[in-house]
Amino acid sequence: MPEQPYSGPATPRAGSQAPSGTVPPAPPSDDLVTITINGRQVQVSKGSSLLYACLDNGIPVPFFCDHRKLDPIGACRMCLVQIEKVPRLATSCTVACTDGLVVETESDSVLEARAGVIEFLLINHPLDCPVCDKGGECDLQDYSIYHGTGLSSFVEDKLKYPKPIPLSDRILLDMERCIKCERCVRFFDEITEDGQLVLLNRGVHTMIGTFSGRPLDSNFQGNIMEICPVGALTSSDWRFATRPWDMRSTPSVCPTCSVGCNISVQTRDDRLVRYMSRENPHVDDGWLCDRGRYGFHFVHQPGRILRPRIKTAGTGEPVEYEIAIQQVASKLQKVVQDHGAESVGAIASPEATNEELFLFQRWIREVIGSPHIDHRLMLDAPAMSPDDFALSIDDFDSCHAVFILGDEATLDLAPILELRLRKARRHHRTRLIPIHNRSVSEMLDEVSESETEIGIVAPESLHGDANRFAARLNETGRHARRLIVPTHANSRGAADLGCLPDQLSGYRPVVGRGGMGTWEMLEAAGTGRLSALIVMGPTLLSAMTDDPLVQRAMDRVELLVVLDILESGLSEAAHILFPLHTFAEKEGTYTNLEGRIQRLRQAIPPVASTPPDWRILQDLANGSQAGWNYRHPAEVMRDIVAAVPAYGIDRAGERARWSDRDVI
Amino acid sequence: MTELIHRRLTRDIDMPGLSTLEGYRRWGGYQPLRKALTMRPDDIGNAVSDSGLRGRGGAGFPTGRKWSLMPQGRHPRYMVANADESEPGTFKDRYLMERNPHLVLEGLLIAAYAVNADASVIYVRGEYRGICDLLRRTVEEARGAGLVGENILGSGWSQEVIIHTGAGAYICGEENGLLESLAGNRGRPRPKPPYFPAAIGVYDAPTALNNVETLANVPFIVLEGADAFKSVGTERSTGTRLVCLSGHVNRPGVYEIRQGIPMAALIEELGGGMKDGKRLKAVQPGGSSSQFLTADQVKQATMDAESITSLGSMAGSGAVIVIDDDQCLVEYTSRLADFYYRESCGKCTPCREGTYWLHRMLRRIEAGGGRPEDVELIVRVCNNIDGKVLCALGEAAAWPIRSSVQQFKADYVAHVEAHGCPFKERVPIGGAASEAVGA
Repeated sequence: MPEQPYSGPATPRAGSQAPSGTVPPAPPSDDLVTITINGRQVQVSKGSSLLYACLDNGIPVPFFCDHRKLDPIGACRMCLVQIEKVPRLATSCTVACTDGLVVETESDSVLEARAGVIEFLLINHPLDCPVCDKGGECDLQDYSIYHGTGLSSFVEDKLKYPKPIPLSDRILLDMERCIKCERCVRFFDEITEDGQLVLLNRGVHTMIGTFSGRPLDSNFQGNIMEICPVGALTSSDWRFATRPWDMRSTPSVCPTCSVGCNISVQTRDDRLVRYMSRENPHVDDGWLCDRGRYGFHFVHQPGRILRPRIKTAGTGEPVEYEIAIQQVASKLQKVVQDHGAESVGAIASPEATNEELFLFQRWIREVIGSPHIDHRLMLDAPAMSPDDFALSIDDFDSCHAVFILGDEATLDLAPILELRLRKARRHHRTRLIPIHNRSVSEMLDEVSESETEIGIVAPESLHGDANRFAARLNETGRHARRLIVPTHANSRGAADLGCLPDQLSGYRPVVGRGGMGTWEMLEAAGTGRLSALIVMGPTLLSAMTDDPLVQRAMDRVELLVVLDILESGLSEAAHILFPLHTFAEKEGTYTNLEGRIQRLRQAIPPVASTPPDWRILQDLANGSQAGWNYRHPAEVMRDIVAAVPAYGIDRAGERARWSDRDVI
Repeated sequence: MTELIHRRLTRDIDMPGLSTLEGYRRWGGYQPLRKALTMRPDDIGNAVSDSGLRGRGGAGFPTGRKWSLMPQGRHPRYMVANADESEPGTFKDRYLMERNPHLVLEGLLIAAYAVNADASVIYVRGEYRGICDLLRRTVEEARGAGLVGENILGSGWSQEVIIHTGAGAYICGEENGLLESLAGNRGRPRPKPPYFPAAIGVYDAPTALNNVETLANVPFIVLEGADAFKSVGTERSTGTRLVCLSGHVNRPGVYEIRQGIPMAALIEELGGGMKDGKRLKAVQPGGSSSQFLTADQVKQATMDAESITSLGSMAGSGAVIVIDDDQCLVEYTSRLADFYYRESCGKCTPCREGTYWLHRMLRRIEAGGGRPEDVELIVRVCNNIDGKVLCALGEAAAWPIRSSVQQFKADYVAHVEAHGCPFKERVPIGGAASEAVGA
């Protein structure tokens, strides 16, 4: 008897649950083979899926159960094709391309088979199109038109289920519409690897349900709604809200965390309705987390700041934009005259765009002349450097092992990283080591002899540990790279562009004494050492106005200028307040945690009537005689590249080039 | 009569104590195993190939060839006996396991040795509770005599045998459904290619999976040789076959026949002819999944795969179901349709939806709601299942149902015209309860 009967699947996916019934795809091969599809010869990767060989060569083949990110199972039978010398039709999704394969995708028997499968799917499928949210983007609708026969011969009773069945507060299940393609079940098996959805019962009575019997409990639920080919899984967030063809789609990136998953922002009548994934294989790989996906409602929330305000005698009054600009200019000039440039402190938002952050720190450092600028809420942070993000998401695949310092808390900062790490383990045997409260020596003991390529993922709070661990690993001759996970969408950009008290843009050290960090500034403002505070939001400060330190600062400081999106204790305390636009209302770039510079695009007209945020900053700086005349964020980016050559990439979406390693 | 029957597996089957180790030894048992352990595994495989032994479960695949498809040198690798006997009409494996369990065990052990298996399993359908217990006792008895476990018979070869029970699914008799169930997953088949068990089986390891009766033939081949095995039977259907005769005959039961005897002789001489002097209307020669033979075809048929296939049916599991002309074929076929609809695993679209559709249609016709277009519709649905499905269950439903409609169209037309069942005088097969429609 072998000691361990289950030595794992024969395919290279150690550490994962064995998926049942899936066909492991061949590892990507550099060898090309020639196959013939409908009489045309094409070159494809040896062992690749015949279905995708057809699709990638412009030959449409319908399918339901397969998905590029999931292992094929050959269940729906929609992708049947005719292979020469093979007596039965074969599911193209489970056929590996070999040299000399000859396939027909439009023969009579194939067309008849497709019509047959559509007919079978429609016998129990309800005629819900008029009330089904999937209408207009439904594979079953599309394939029924292209491949079905149009008339039903079914006169028996259709199966009925209670509908909808809430799988959670976000996802509604309709079992009458479900075509049992199992994509949702396989998503939780293969992508999140927590097996939350299972099949219940057998045969035509097969149902989807949660393994626990309790609601789905996952930060990735929205993805199953996207991958469901029919309207069986729909979102309760935008139920009955719109038809897809009534929406406009704008490519952008999600602003909720530092990963910057690529999204399509979909709007109707200038209101955001939903995000859809806009697959970027280097970043999100086609997935979104729920926190990001459903996190846009603040854009249309009632508490938006709509107009500039000036506080005189205790209450804030709306004023004209030009008045507010002019007030800042004159009041700031007075503060600098009376107390010096170093009496001005500035707190930048890690959610502002690169263009805005660059202008902000130029205004503070160059125009006003103050060294006090920060975007973080941390004490004693180690100096930052591009080595903090030498490890890219793509690099997970080539690491022998990846240490995740802080485990869940760290992955919570950037949820999609968890899916990317699991994929690396699944497809590339990367060993994942979660670390809770261990010393550097203990971590070193975890590394095995043969593991030379090491990745370290750590939050800012464990930046020091990560640095020391990496240094020790490199001393042993290994190649250790770090990915420090920052807290906000453009924390990386804020650091790259010098919104730090002790580092200039491009991580150049400050000449002479550095400035104060955020906490120091707040304390100094509370004790009168700082006379002016300029806070460009959104920042975490707006949620901390009950903190005595923050309160003292706001009360004591002579001039409090705030730019922000939502009303809070901070906006109320501001002497001069400007509204800002959200990510959906402006153009600009964000730099994600790996140093990848990605475009935001404006999806709706701005809610507030003020000029774009970057222009507010230009007007404020020009109020202090900056003499700037940028006309567009792209012009700001030109100056960014001049100051930080690493930002000189060829196209948006590439990583900034801090060294030779950083090309794509 | 003696020419029709040839007792190899069922030799002295009623001998008292045959199911014990002591009795089995008196029967001559474990001599083949002793001999096998002195042979090279490949030589055993060659002997099995030469013998022409084909699978006795239903597919009839040549056993030696199946073993040779396992990739050399890949470990772990497993030997599994398919004792999930679930094909309606089939009861030969239980007959063998109840009366001569050591024969099954010995066949399994020799086969395991021949394919270099690291462990062996007998997968028994859960409904065979008594047989599960008996097999466990049998294995322990054998272990006590050094026939199972470490260093079998001092040969240096070891083999563990595990008895695993199923939980009530026809689809777990399908080879990939069985292996998935064995691995603890839902008992649903995996697509072939690439999941041919010999290459990728249980836990994705190479697995030889054979029917109980197939394995029970292996000791004879090892001891007496391939030629002796072939001396009985036809050229392509060598050896004996345990046929399960059932239905409207006087003497239903398990008969170990020489392959090639006339089907009529099986029914008349061995089976004692039609019960109550009725006339034969139809026969399913290979279990409920086989196409029907008409009375005329039965007269032409001989009990071997070549003959039955040439008549448009299949030898299948060796279950010969005999139907008299008082039986309504529509009602009979609707019972078949019920079975396949209930047993479909639901993974692939045509079987999952198609078996449901056929079940509803046939119920409707039997209950009197048949329409003229239904006959053609049934055939079309069966055609849309045939050749499009992930495993043979879909076809196991489509073939007999289509055959019923095509060969006994008169019964269906009569239902449509009469708006009911013209055979209604008779008590339905399952009693009055069978009138309930649906699940």
